[in-house]
Amino acid sequence: MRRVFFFVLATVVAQIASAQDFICYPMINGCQPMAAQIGTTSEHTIDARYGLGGAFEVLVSGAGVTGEVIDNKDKAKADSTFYTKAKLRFAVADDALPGVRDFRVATPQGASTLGQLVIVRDRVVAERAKNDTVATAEVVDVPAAICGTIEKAEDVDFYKFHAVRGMSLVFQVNSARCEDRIHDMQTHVDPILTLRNSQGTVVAMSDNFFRADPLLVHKFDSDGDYFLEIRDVRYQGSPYWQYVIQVHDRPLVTNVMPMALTPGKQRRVEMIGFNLPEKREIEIAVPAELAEGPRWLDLPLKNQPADPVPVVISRLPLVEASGKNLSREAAQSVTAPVGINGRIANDNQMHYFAFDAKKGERFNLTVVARSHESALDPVLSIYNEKGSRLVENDDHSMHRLTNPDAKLVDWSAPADGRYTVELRDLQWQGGPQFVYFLSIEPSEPGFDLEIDGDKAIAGPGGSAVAFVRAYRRGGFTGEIQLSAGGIPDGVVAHCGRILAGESDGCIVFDVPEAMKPMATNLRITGTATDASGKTLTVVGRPWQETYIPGGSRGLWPAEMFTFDVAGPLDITAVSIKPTEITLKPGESKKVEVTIVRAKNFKKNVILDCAYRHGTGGASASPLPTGVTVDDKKSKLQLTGGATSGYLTITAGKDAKPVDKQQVTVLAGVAINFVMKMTYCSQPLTVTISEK
Amino acid sequence: MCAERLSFARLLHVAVWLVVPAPALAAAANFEVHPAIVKLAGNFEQAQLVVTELAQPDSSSTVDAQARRADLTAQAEFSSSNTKVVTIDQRGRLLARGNGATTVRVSVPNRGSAATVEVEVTGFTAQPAVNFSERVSPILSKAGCNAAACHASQHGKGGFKLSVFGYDPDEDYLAIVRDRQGRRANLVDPARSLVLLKPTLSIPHGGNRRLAVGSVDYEIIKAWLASGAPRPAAATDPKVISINVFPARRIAGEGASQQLRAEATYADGRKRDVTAWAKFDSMDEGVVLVTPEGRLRTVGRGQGVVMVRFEGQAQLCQVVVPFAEHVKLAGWKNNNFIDELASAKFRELGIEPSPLCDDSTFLRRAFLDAIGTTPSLEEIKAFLASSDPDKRTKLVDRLLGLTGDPAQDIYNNEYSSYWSIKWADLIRSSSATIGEQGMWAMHNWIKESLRVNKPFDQFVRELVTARGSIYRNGPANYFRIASKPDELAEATSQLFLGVRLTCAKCHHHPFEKYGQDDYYGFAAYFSRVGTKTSQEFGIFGREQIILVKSSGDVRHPKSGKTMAPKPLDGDPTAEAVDPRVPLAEWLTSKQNEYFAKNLVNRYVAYLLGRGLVEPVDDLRATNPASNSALLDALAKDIVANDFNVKRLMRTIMTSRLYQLDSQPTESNAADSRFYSHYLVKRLAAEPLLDAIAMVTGVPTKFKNMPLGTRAIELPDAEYQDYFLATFGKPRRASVCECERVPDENLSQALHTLNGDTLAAKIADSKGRIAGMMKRKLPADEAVRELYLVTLARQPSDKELATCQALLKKSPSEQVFYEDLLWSLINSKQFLFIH
Repeated sequence: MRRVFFFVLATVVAQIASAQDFICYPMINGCQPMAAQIGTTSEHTIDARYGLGGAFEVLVSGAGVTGEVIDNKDKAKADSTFYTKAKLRFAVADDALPGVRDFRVATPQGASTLGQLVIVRDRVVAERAKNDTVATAEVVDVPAAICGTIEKAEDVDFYKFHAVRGMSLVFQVNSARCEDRIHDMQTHVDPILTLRNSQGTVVAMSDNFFRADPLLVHKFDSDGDYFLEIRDVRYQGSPYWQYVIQVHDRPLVTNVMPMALTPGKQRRVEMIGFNLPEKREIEIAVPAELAEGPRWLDLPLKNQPADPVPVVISRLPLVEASGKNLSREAAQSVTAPVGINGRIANDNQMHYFAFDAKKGERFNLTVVARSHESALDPVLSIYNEKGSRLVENDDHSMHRLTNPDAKLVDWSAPADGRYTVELRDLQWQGGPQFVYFLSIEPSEPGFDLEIDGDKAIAGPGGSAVAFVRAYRRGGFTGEIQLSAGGIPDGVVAHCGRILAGESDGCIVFDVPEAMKPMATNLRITGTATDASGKTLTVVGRPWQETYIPGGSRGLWPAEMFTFDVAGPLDITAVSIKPTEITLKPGESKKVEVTIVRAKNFKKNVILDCAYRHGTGGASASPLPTGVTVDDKKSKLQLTGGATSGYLTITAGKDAKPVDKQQVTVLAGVAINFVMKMTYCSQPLTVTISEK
Repeated sequence: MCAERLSFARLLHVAVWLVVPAPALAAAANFEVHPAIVKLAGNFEQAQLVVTELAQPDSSSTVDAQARRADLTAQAEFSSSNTKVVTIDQRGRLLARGNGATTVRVSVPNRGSAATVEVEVTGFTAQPAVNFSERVSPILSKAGCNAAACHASQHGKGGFKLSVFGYDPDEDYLAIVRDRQGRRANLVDPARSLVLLKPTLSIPHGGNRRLAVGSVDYEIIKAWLASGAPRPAAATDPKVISINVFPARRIAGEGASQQLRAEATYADGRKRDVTAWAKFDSMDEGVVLVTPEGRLRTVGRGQGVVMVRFEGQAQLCQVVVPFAEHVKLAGWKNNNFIDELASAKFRELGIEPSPLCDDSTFLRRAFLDAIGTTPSLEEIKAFLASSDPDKRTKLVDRLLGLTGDPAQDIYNNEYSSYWSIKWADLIRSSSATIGEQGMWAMHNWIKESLRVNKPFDQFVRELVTARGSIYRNGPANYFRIASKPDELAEATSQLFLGVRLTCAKCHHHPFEKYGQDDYYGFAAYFSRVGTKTSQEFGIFGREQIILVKSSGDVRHPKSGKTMAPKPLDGDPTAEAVDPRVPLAEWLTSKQNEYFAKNLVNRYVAYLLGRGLVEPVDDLRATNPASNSALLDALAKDIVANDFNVKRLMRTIMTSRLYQLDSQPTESNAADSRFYSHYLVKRLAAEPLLDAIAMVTGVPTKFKNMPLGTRAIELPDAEYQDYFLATFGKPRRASVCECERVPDENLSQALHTLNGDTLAAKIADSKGRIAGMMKRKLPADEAVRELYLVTLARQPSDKELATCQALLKKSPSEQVFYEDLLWSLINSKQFLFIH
């Protein structure tokens, strides 16, 4: 009887699973165990929404960690939707830096979304099945990196360990922080750690330290067995709420002072944190090749290695806040460009810096603090000589996210004079961990470059697209030519441009018919020339998209932009005719579109030239300003297995002349209310002639 | 007087002395008159004389002896030497009649010779200038015209609206003189003014007669109208800064009376008898009644107060009517200062306290009071078996985790959980208002604060000045539970000062000295609290940051004036980045007696069943403590011990007072205020449900919490649990202690008698009874176990015998034990802390 029941159940499940009538890249939800130890090779199981069948390659961010698929390689693509788990093997080099790495898996269905792996120094201990009470606590020897899952509502995991009097242990959790880039996680964990003695009495607890993740440092006053308890603070759970608890007695250096260092130079820094050696200062040789910006640096602590510490690498002339600059009257004199290392040491403290500026001179003032593990939530103000506050900033837009640090971009001096910069904590707090780096630089023409998405997927003979957006500053309005580095042999990259004064452009990748599935990371750059003739080259930063509960699309910065050649997908080709159009202002032209559907693929397809999700506006559109797709005169929805449609592209009466702007025609297949599996045509060039 | 005349007068005096019978002249007056000299300034001024017997020579120095002196005012006879200067009625009330000096003769039958009071009247004029605020407004208050039930109701009465208790003289003036085309005031013929015709019932008046034609008050209003009805001038009108009541304390037997005298002190230092216009109210009508003229009469035994109010100021006369003249306090031994002061009160009131409770009672009481938990079987057996004379104190130390030995300090989880309920209730931590993560953050902060026994002043400082993430910093949620400055001011003052400011938002507090200036000055401390969003808990984490804005203020709703942050009874605070910081400093200052008194009063209520002040969150001069000396001493003690709450609890729980039997004696049965016997309390919802779970051996499963979570560990108010709701678990909508209703009701009785909760647990196959059946316990042993685990005591021989008899009649052992357990749980001894 029981066999019959399971047969029926399996049949139903199979029918439901096979009901998925489209191909979608896998969305990784978790990795067990979530940590890998330095100097070892270890096996891990990943979970994903949508199929991992045929997974063949693993890409890992950073240096020193490689991954490979150890099963699912040979699973037939047709069965892919059944395989939501895959086994991976990660090899971590001896010199790999501890910390969180992104990884993704390439499959015939496309490259997966990002998963996270925590690289640790200690032995990895995986959670046993039943450890939900003190009585059934899992016994562990410390130091260890305990990996587990808060797998269901009301789950509480207990671990029992022995500690001796005088021992000071760090219990550091990585969990919630690793969920930001998980593509489809509707609710996030908020872990809480509780330490109990052998009687079960609570001796310490921690809820949030590293944002939602706890950090507990406890010095034991007696020998004995202790219980470490971890749960979601709300007693919620999910099979994908995984955690790593690093338990050790080594130093945990949360910050260093000074925070900013010059590459290629030796610098003595003060360590700030827990379990620190008596001698708090340490000499660091900063590698010359380190790129500028926030970085993580390994400290040369010999016997008791610490995790890498957050620093800022800067080539600006560096000075330190004097500590006497605590009023406007006592402002520390600086000359831009300059980088200032400082620390708001006490509550209610404010730091002041004064610099001279001519009327109309423009400056960028940037603080790096809270966004890079400082306790300081900076507020930046500029005062004139009369003591009037001219401008203030607390948080600033990181284009698609809010950065908790303060930044003033292109601030223009209203008159010749001396200006005072005030820096304080939003909450008027201070302390050892309230370190900062403040840069004051003349504003120069430039731009930031961001890639909408972190992967481009195409099947053999198909095309893929990367949309790139420029955020301009310093008065720069020029054209930006896009390029892609690391393109595999045989793939043709049509690198478009971002028109002068515009924000969006695209690169279209054509994949040869015979190309085998593969995946590689690309480096996408934008190059431009400013008004003085100086060449500006900027590397694009990819953004991983995430599904936000309620039906909107979030984006989170990532390190890897992956180009992926999948197996044959649902749409094997998107053809357009013509591939070039020239419009006069006020004129419209039709572009015929034909898609080639895979056998049995009947889902609706939506055509567009702009990258859209959900009901919001376009998140990218390389069409020149004034040029639009006329919905009413287009056939954009290909329903019931239809394979042809058309777009009517119209140049507005005020459209300015443009020569051959590259766009592409997108054919989108809805994955859910927001996300799409996006296919595209070969490039379409749009020219706007003079009236 | 010339020399000859003086000489003649002396001769005459001697002659008279020779002819008058000796006894009548030989006895000096056996009473005194208060005040001895009266100065009346202006027309209509009145003064009350109070005639009091002299104290016994041997006891005149003691406070009690002074308070025991009889009031002779009612028996006294008064006469004025010059009625053109002053007249006096038989109540002993003087009325100015003209400028000059004279004397009033006061005599009391059989109390020796007469006494003389010197009276001087000045400022009397033919056309007196009457100040509205000083003279007219108090008449309206005394007559009840500006009470909320009359013309100060929301829409007034009959179209005539006055401000509550006259807090807005300008508005009142306009209502009387200008409103309705001035029909209420006839300045040409004042007697025809509606404002006089109505209250004298010269024409119909819904509020009946409030004024007699020709009375002093009538004449004052008439004179004010006659003088052109001058408008009040807020800046220059005299302000009353305090009042004084004579006598302040009276000890007497039942049926005694006492005339009171009220004297106001104005901002310019002037003192004025205002007995005629003060309002007198008994706050304990079972002990004392008082007439509108200020004459009190004792009607029952105990301690009561009469509240006297005048122009926004209030003062009290305490009245003590002892239960007995002498008490023995046999066997009484002071364990600490609480007992010293409690016993002094017993002596004063003539109350004989109950004896100490037995060990079983103490054990269960201490467990439930300290940690909201019933003791385990093992704990009960060990405690009852112990012969250690110090075992009660040691138990208290163990319950509070004060032994310093981790092997003994095993109840800290229960302690922090149980008391978290209390403070989360009061702070109003609820997922309904601050979301689930916010609620948990707040709960965890409260619990951790209790776990480490954080000094209470630090706890309050952290709460009141909280900023940062609502997830990372639990107390920051305080500013989401209430976000407006006025709401925060009301909550903060009630929670941590025991001061209810709500009334002062709209008008001067009727029983308190606080007005709108105080209210909005206090609210201004919260004017710069702001919020911003954050993505540090993810882009859909909905994290908010509580922050201090660089600007923000509170305005007085009437004057529009920007209010500087100002503590109650204090001067405005100097400018501060975060005004809450100086607020927290003032609030938690060791000099702020309200802070300490509020805290100790609450813990007295929690542990002894009733606050020294009730309601516990209504501390004010007009609501005195039942034992002020004890309240003062406890406050002093907690200040000296840096607001150590566990130490406070230890002090209370180790006192003899806490350990008294709950069974009243014949002599103290009437007492419910002075702790002469332990006041029985119903177990609160959560400890009761836990106790049932413990004795039945079947834990309760709560939604979204793992099995094994106890009711005292529940962090939220939002649980759909019928049992908890029936037994009064609050929704955390109010900062008032009263939201958790401690009373018993029929629903509760029906639920434990017939409800599912108890029946299911008793019959559970994994429960205690099922376990006992498997263990095959002998009948006596089983009965003893059930008595011990439910009531923490052995059954009496009679109870044992009854059980044996019932067991024989029962269809099965299991049925009998289930019935017995049901009966024990439904007994008062189980349902109540006694």
